[in-house]
Order: sequence, then C-alpha cells, then structure tokens
Amino acid sequence: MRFRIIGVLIVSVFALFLSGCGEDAEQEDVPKSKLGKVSAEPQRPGDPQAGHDALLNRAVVTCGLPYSAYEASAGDPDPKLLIAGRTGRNAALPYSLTAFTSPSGVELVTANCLGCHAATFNGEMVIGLGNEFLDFTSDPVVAVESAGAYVNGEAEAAEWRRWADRIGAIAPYMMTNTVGVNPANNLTLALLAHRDPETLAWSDAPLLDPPPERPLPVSVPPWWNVGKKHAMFYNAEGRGDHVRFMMLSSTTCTDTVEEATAIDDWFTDVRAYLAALEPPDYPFAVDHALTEQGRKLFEANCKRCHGIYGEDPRYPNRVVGLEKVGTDPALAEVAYKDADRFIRWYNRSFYGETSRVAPALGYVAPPLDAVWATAPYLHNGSVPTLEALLDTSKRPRYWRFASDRPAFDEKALGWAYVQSPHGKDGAMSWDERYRIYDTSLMGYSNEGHTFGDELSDAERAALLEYLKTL
Amino acid sequence: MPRVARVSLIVGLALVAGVLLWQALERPPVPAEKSFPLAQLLSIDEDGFARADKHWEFRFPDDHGAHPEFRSETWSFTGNLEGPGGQRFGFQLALFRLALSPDPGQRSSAWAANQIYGAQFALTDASLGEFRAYERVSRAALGLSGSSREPLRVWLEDWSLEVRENREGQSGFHLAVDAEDLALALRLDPKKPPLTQGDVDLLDAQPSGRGSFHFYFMPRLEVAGTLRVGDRDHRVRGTAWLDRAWGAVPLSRGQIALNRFALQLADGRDLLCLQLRRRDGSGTPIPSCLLVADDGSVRRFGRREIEMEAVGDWRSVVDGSSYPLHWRLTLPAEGLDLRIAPVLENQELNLSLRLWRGAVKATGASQGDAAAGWGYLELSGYAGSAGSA
Repeated sequence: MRFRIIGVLIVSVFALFLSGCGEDAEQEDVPKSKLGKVSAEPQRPGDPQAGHDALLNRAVVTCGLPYSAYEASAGDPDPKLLIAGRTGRNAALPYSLTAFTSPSGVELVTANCLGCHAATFNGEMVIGLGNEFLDFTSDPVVAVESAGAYVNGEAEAAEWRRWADRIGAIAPYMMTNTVGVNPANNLTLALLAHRDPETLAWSDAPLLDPPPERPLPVSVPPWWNVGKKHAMFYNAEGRGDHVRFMMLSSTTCTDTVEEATAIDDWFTDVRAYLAALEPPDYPFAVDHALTEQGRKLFEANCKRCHGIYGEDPRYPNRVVGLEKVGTDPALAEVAYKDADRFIRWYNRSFYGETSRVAPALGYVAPPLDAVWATAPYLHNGSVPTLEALLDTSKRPRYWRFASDRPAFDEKALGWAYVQSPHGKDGAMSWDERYRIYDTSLMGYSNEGHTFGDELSDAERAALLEYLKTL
Repeated sequence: MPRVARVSLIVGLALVAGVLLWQALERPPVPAEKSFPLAQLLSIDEDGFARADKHWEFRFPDDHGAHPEFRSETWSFTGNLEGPGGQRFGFQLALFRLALSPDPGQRSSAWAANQIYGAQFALTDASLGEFRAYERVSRAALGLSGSSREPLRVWLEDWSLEVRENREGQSGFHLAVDAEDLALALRLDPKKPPLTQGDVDLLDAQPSGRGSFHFYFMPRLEVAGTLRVGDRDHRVRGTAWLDRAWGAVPLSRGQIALNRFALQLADGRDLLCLQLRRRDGSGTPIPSCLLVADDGSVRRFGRREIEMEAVGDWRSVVDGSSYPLHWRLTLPAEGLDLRIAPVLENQELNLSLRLWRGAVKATGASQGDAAAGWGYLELSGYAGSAGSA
C-alpha cells in the first residue's frame, strides 16, 4: 500500500504570514509598513542557471523519510511526475521530492519547493505555477508514523524519528478544512515557535505561543512574479533581501546558523532563477479582434494598481488598503495586529539579518503576467475563475473543483468547478465537507475587488481576452 | 479527521497478517535442513512474484482461496464463542502460505515443495481459566498441506478451512482444527459484506510499490459448531471475523509496534481500532478506529476523535513484562464509551514471537444506553519490558 508520503512530504513552504493572537501592535521593534508604493531594495546577485539546477536537485529541507523505506512503500513514480534537469537519485523521484544524504550517512527523501510551486497546466509541468489541488485536510502524522513500519536500522530509525517528531510538532497547524488551500503561513509560524531565534536550535516544547491551529487559507502565488515584486507575500510584509524568506522552508529541519548559512549560499542562485523566470504563454486560442479593446479597458481601469504589460511594462508595487480592495481582511489583519511575537522572532533571527518582516494593513495588487493560469483568485483562492473575479454576480458562494485533476475552463478562465447547494454544514460526508469551498467561513470570503462589476458583458469579454495575452 | 484512519488501518491490517509469517519464520519450529531453507526466506527477493501494485477486482468466493502467484498470503479467523451453559471461549486460527521461489522448476523428490504452509491455533477457555496455543509449519508436499480451487480449501494436515455454499447460495467458511484433546468444527457465515482495501482507503485505493499487498476484512461472521475440550463436547455459537492479505505481506514492523482492538458489539456494530506506537517508546501513540454499522456501512475516526487510555497492567508470568490489558476507549462523536478487560489475563502467546493476543470483554455505554460486546486485543512490542516498567 502506498502511504500518502508525497502529500506528507509537502511541508516545504516558504510563505510567511505572521498571524497569531493576543498581542498589541505598534512597538519599536515590530515594524509595520504603510499602504501605497513599496520601494525596491537591493537583492544579492546569483546565477539563474545554477539556481535552476539547485532548485531541482538540492535539498532545502534536510530531514525526511529514509530512502529505503520510501522505496519499499512508495513504488515506481508516475512517469508524468518525472521532470527534466534532475540528476542522480532525483532523476527517478517525483518532482516534488529531493534526495538528501544526512550527516549520519542515511539517504533521505525530502520535501522540496516544487511540491507546492509546480503544477501541470494543459498537460505540461509548469515550474512556478502554484499547485491549487493539494490536499492538506488529512492528518500527516498517521502516514509519517506508519511509514516507520518500513524503517529498519539504527541510523535510519534516528533520521525517521527526527522527521516524524518535526511533523508531529507542526501537524496541528497545517491541517486545512478545504482541499486546495495552502497552510504554508501557519505552518511556518509553528516552526518558528519551536526555534531559538539566535541559535535556530529546535525545542520540542514551543518557545513562543504557537499560532492558532486552524490555518487561514492561502492560494499559492506564481513564482514568475518574483522579479517584479519589491516585497514578498500578499501583505507585502517580506522586506529587504528576498533570499532569507524564500529559504524559510529550511526551518523544518535546519537546526544551526551554520547549516542555514550554507543553504543561504546557494539560495541566492535560486532567487536569481526565480527573478528571471518567464511566465508561460496562453496555450489556447486568443481572439485578437477583441484584445485591443481589452487592452484599452485594462489601461483605463486596472493599470493604476496592476501596471502596464507588453513592450514597455511597468509594475507599480502598490499595497491597497483593506477598505479599498474589500477582500477578506483576516490574513492581513491578523498579521498586522496579532503577530508581534513572530515579527520580533524573525527580525532578530538569522533570517532577519538581511531582511525584515513589516506587515501592511492591506494587500499587494499582484503583477498579472499569465494571470489566466493562476486560478483560483484572490489571496485566499476563493474565486474559481477570472470571469467571476470580474463579475461578482458570478462568484459562487459554495463551490468545489469539478474533478480531482485540473480541468481548465477556456471560457471563464479558471479551473472547472461546480456550485454546491450548501456550505460545509450541509455536507453528507467528510469527503464532501473537505471539498466544498465555503466562502461564508472566516478567512474564506469571496468579497471585494468589485472593480469589474461596472463593465458591460461585451467589455468584460474583451478584457478577459486581453488577459490571455499577459 | 476521519480520513486519517485509512493509512494506519491499511498498515495495521497488513501487519497483523505479516506478524503471523514473521512469528513462524523467526524461529522455525521444524528442524532446519538444506532443502528447507526457512532461515533464508526473509531475504528472498520479491522479484518474479506477482506484484500487488495494480488495482485488484475482488471476486468472492474466489478470493477466499489461495493466490499462489503471489509470494505470501494469510488467513486469520478470530472470534468469541458461547457454550450452552454460558461458557465463554475465544479462538484464533491463522493460516499462512509462503512461496519459496516464483519458478519452482522441476524437482524429483515428492518431498520437494515450492509452498510452505503454517498455522497457529489458540483457544481461551474462560470458565476453566485456560489458554492454549499451537503452531505448525509444513511443506506443500505429499498432500500434507496445500490449497485447492475445487473445492475452495486450504489445509495443513488436519487443520483446514473450506468455503462452501449454504442453502441460500451464500458462501460460508468451515473450519476444522484438531490439537491434542481440543477439536473445533465451526461454520462461519458472513453477516456483512467484506471491506476491501478500497473501502478502507476510499481515496487512494491504488496500491503501489514493492511492499504492496491486497487485503480484505470480513467484519462479522456468525459462528455455530462444536468444540471438544478433553472428553466434553460443547455446542457453541458466537461471532468472528476474518483478516486476509496476499502479496508482499510485510514481515517486519520496523520501528512500529501495534495495539489492535477488534470488538463485536451486541447491537450489531463492529469496532476495529489500532494504536500505533514507536518501539522505542518515543512520540505519542496514535489511535485510529473503524466502526462498521449493522448494515455494513463504515465510519472512520482519527486520532483527535478517539480517547484511548490504558487503565490496568498485567505482568507476564514468563519474565514480568508488563502488558496494558485493561483499557478505556471512547468515541465522543458516537457517544460510545467502553471499558475493555481480558476474559483471562494470561493469554500471552509464547511461540516463535512473544505477544499478548487474547479474548476480551467490552462493557459500557452507547448514547447513554448500556453497550457490551466481545472481542480480541493484540498487544505487540511489550515483551522484555520488565526492566523498564
């Protein structure tokens, strides 16, 4: 039997939304950002080609399942999950797993960034496209502990225990109640709570009040926007050097500053690769008779926040206040008001040496390159298509993906979905319950960004057509 | 989190089966000889055997019989019986088959055999306070042990399992065991449909990997027959269940030890719970449960929906190893609150491998009404715990 090891191994996340509870905001050592323009800050240079190779072949999470146990329980991977550019053992592993030999000499299978940040679109694996179909609803601990049945040998057992203990500590903070949404933010905070900020040493007991157990949902943003964005994360809280934020998935198992420094050395190349990553081209038909009208509408209505595309692109890097954008406020509010202990932790840690967390009470209007590929929309993934994003009357209150595998809707521009007549409370089974995206829940609202409502149907169609060309 | 149960249930079912093989192989109960390389069996590669890594379309009664193209296979019947005078008995008959090579080739000797059959039989007589266990291993040669399709039968000398149709055309099982002054002849009729790997693992039923195996579980069999103890014959009735697996049934539990609870409640429900533990005692044990309703429908319970607490130990008469034999098991969402106690404390199996596996009684409440049932508890990984207890 296959354990759901691949799902379990996907705990490699670098999104950081500092959310917690109980503290008051605005203290000197807890910087906050203003709304409006985000200024550029210098980024360390790196080699994009080396970064691509490292991303595909080097481990940033340094604990995992011994390879022998993986091999015994997981079987041959689906050939569709093998991608070019991987070498050695990695060439035979699914793209979301990376081999790593521990200091004790045990070969491990570890999580990597691609588990969340690569996905198939129209049959092609697209590196940088967020995977919006991952299932974080089940308890990873059961699979992790069960995998121990396949672990033999003392050194292997020690490595397995270390990994299982880490997953066990963060499991309560990474279980979402909806298939597709990502718990990366909460998971990262849970990890920080277990580490000394100065030494990065792990403590089995949390050193800070952990975050609330139930994660606020986030959609995985595309990597090809990294080069345009001056700040990381939806609320623009990731300021300064992006590398230290990008490598935060190392907080799962990196227990010393020395180890973190070694990862930092090659992660500058990874950042350089991500900053140079090109968005994919729209693979289906485009009605060029409409796109020019769409461009004019876009530049009349959208460019102030989202920028200009084409020959002379410009991206304004603006944080829009919650009242103005009107989208679900929970993520930004919690990070701004209730997460000071995590902000303090970060800013005095190794990770905060060259960067700083400074949340804003709003959301960044993202670059829209290849926006057609990045459904579902809004930071919480509450709107399944672009058509619905531009017409609030078409936004489903309760919905689920039409199939387990991504099916693209060329008309509405997004993943095919079906409406549910009821929210989670009306579900007849746990499976149904987990699959319903219920926008009536806290953090899951699909309100706001109503700017497309004033368009006529014809105008909206033209605008959608134009968005295919970005 | 009900879906969490599926992985450990799969592992649990398999390991329960696997331990039977392991027990027999660890210390072969027959004299070793060159042509009978039990000691090397553990290292036999799975290569060449059919791999259980593809979808299996279960067909009954055929799948009750042997699948010799797969390397290993287990049948395990466990249940509780009652005599006409209210005497209580627990029984377990476990059979296993192991192939020595995927290609037997031609052998001249009639003693040569490519299949090994083994079995364990244990009987608990609660009224006499006796627990007895027997173990056999035999080659499938000279008709000593084997399996057949017509009739659907598995046997090891005079211990046998046969599948027969009843008057309604349903398949039932006939078990026959003769061991010293014990003799058991039972008919077991399914009261609920089998739960296959697809039922237990609804979303990820596709098996994969070298360690794959197929399994099913028959949660409730109605039992009637005779039990002879010494010169006394008892007409017995009761309930039992069947665990089945074939493929690369795991021979080792690695870092994991398992406590397994199988309870058959008087209201028609069956409860299967597993508690996964690390052998070294680190970490927190993880329970998961599967509740099979009277109509055969299944509900799973994850670790956060289960309260499971050991409330009383027993020390082995062999070396003082401590086993938690008394438990409190609560499923708050189901309003089910049970106390589990052994019908007899000393049901420690001390054959090839030591573990405690014995008949238990459950009493308590379900939604405020009295609830009761009989079952079995299997506790592994405690032997040798005397020093640390």
